[in-house]
Amino acid sequence: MTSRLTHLLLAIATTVAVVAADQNDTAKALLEAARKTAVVDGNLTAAIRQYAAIVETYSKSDRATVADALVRMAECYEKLGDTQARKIYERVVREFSDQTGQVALARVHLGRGERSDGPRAMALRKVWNNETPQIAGARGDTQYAISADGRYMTYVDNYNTALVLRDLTTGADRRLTSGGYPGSSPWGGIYQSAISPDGAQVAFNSCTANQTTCEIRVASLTGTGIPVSRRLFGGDDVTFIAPLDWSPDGKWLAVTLQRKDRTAQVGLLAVSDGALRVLKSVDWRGTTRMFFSPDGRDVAFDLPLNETSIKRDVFVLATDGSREVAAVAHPSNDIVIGWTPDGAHLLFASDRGGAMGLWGQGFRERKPQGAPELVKPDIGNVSPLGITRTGALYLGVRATNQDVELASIDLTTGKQIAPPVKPALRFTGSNSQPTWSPDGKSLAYVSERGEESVVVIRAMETGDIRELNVPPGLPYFSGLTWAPDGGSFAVRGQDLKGRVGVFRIDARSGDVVPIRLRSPAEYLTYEGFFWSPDARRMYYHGNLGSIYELDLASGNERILVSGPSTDDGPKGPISRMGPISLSPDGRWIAAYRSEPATKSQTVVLIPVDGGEPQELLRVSEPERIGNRSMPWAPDGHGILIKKETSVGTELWFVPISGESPRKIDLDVRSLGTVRLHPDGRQIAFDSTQFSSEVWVLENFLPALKARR
Amino acid sequence: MIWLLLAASLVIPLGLDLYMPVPEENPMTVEKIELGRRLFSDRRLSRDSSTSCASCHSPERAFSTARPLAVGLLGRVGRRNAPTLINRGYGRAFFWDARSASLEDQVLKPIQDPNEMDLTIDEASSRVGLDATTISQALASYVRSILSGDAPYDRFINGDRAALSPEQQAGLQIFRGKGNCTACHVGPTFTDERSHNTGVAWRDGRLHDKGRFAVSGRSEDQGAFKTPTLREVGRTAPYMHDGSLATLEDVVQFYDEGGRANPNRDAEIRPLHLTASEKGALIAFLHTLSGTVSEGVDPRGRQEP
Repeated sequence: MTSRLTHLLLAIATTVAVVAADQNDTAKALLEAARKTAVVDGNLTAAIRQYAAIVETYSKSDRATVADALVRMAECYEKLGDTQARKIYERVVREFSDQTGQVALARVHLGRGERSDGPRAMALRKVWNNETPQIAGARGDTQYAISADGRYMTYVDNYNTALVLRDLTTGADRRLTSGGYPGSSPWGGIYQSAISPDGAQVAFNSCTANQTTCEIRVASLTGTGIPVSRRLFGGDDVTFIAPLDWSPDGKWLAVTLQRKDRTAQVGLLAVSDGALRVLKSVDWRGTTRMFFSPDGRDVAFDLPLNETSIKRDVFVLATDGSREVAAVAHPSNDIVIGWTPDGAHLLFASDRGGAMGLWGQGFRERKPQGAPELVKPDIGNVSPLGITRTGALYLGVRATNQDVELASIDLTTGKQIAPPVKPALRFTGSNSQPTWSPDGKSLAYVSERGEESVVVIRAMETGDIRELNVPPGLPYFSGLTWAPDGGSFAVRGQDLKGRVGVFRIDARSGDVVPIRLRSPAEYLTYEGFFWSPDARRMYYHGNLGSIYELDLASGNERILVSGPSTDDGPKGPISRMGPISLSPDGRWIAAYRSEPATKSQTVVLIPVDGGEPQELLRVSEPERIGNRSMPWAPDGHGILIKKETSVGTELWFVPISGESPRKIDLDVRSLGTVRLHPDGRQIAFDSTQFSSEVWVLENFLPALKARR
Repeated sequence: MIWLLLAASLVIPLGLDLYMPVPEENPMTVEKIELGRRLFSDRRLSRDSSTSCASCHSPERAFSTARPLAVGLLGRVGRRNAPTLINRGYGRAFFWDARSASLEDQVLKPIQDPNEMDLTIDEASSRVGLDATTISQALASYVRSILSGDAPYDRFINGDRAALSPEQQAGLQIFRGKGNCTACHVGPTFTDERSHNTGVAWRDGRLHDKGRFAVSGRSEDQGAFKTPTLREVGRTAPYMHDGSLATLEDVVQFYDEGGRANPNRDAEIRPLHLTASEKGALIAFLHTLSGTVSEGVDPRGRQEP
């Protein structure tokens, strides 16, 4: 009897549970249907009716779904400009305190995290700290994008291969592309994304590893999992293109693009068929920020002041190409931030006050009106994600902390003799690219001073410092390397004319002259270059794997190793060489070689005078060779390499004699450039730490409106 | 500064920017373009009423001339070649030495040049019954309406893979790569609007024309001339600021040899070591830059008298 009763009760309980589960499933299905009505069909009124029916039906049985429906219903009202939205958000906060996610979202919509009956003050708060491990050498963490309701943002992983959608109210992440190591991902590199105004779609770019080709794809944000994306645009002539904003009606994307002839352009891309409308060809540096005006008639972007400056001004260009306004024209550096929701102000960041502040330029009848107003001082070096419908400004804040360190090691035993010290006592956190003088008596490194770079030369015996100002004509350079004669440095860089190549910096005057300019179609990036011991030749490699020898007197160039002409072969990414390192006697080139087919990397020795490469070291995934500098020991007996393992990054000495590699006892978690002193014991390296955060500035609109 | 364009009266061909900079004080109107069109061919703007703008900027030759050096009234020979006027609305510097910063300034200069039309502006105004500003603005508006685009090259880079033959595609690769042509000939108009010394003016150990230096006074501008557009280049021979190279073959040969070495030669100019087939491909490509030349207002917007 007891057993039968138990079974009966169990059966009833099971039935109730099944019914409840069915009800929940039905509620979720109805919720999804309503969401599709709102997002896909764009029929907000019908969606409101569907949400209201869900609230009515499940008010006593499924509080989670009801709270979700209420918030979504309020969002529909908000898009319709109906004040009913606020009442519903307040109801969610008041009646659904157990549904924390929805309450948080309702609070976001209500304008701030806490209720306040009085006037709200402008508030800047952090909404996300990107704690994804930062890997030195990986490019990741480029640009974020925010949805118009402030709920979602997109970001890219460390290798720029996985686009991720983050729900800022719940903290949930959803991968939108599969990701993976560069070269192993079908997506190439993803650098930029933009979320459509209705939050239903995301546009993103996908570029080959060397940015020889680039395309724009669009994916739906409805549903779960990795969505199927469609290729919207891609052309052989375009080496880079990025979606920067959606038009308010969702029909156009504002894009920045770069042509194979180095021309940068701003344009519009039709979301329906991918037709490109080039609005304007601009300075080769182009723009990285574009924002549609709320009425969709104009786009705002910033461009360099002129061909000799790295400072920028802000322009507003009609989307039909009929007019352009210099919206912010000032000798200071002015960066576009976005439009206020009413279109009455164009926000920009400017250093005209000494430090970067947030400014607002009034606009009336599509023209600047009055003098700019300071909205908030000292906002730092930010990149704008966008401004939500309710007027919250989302900002990406990135910081790089780089310093040069010196340590003493014993290559024979791998032991550390003296722990790392930081020789730079000034401008700490902004020093990098160490290089030893040929006689070992001096250490030079680059110190970033805001927008300028200074080469610091430190006498090791006395600690005396001499600073070399690099002319503004070479604003971008890296790989500082001392020439064998001690009289100059070589760097890889790009000058203000957009020319990429190897440049010589005079160690006395700071004068810069090009040593070897690449032609626009070479697609070379110089990741390493080396003088022969007699300083008569230079060796470097291109990003497709070719290795070159340049006779500095004649200008004649010899290809030592020919790389493939493309990134990919019929079976996917193909093996290629680089970077390289020249032995002290000038007879060997050590080269890193990626071998995607075997998921391994090798270090090979290439005889400069000809002959087959010899494999020196091979590592297989998940281990990888850190593919930056590989300095030779001064006696030529081996090279230092950086190895990434499952437990972290390690420094290893690899003898060329065939002996076993030795791990060096040195903490190199954030190691970048590595240089060995001519004595073979002192090591100079730069270590880098990144931080990346997203902040939101709220309630700044009342201040602007009051001034109007 | 606000720039305006009467977009409705111009059709921007494939390959050119939709936005063309137009000064706020001289907005494009159908009337001004039409007036400028008439003035462009009006011989009264020369002292002996023999020469008009169109005399040297012939529409049949993509608004250029077949003569190496411009020939003005009374057969007077100028110092330089009359360049094509196509797509000058997108320009930032005018004349071979880049001495004018606006079309409004530029268009009045040939009228006053003794070797060209040799007329004072006052006399020109009197003859046509228009003040100087009206003449300047109308001519500038008309020149802005002279456009060239929709060439096979434009169709090719916009996805029509059949628009260029394999040889022409090979020429495009040379143009961007081994030929290093895009060091100066960039963008939709194929000019960087800057001045460069290629050595054309250097002969017999001296400069025969100081070029941009005469305007700027900067030593680095010695013998430098503004990069001309390559649009319609197959129709605008002879070439260079002095018309000294008669054919595209001559031009390619000149650059293949690294221009002409001189103390101020541009760093981008160096021997190219092109093979004969590469030269042929490059020339074949250059001909793909000839497309549709249009001038005046779009017929749909033109107001008939």
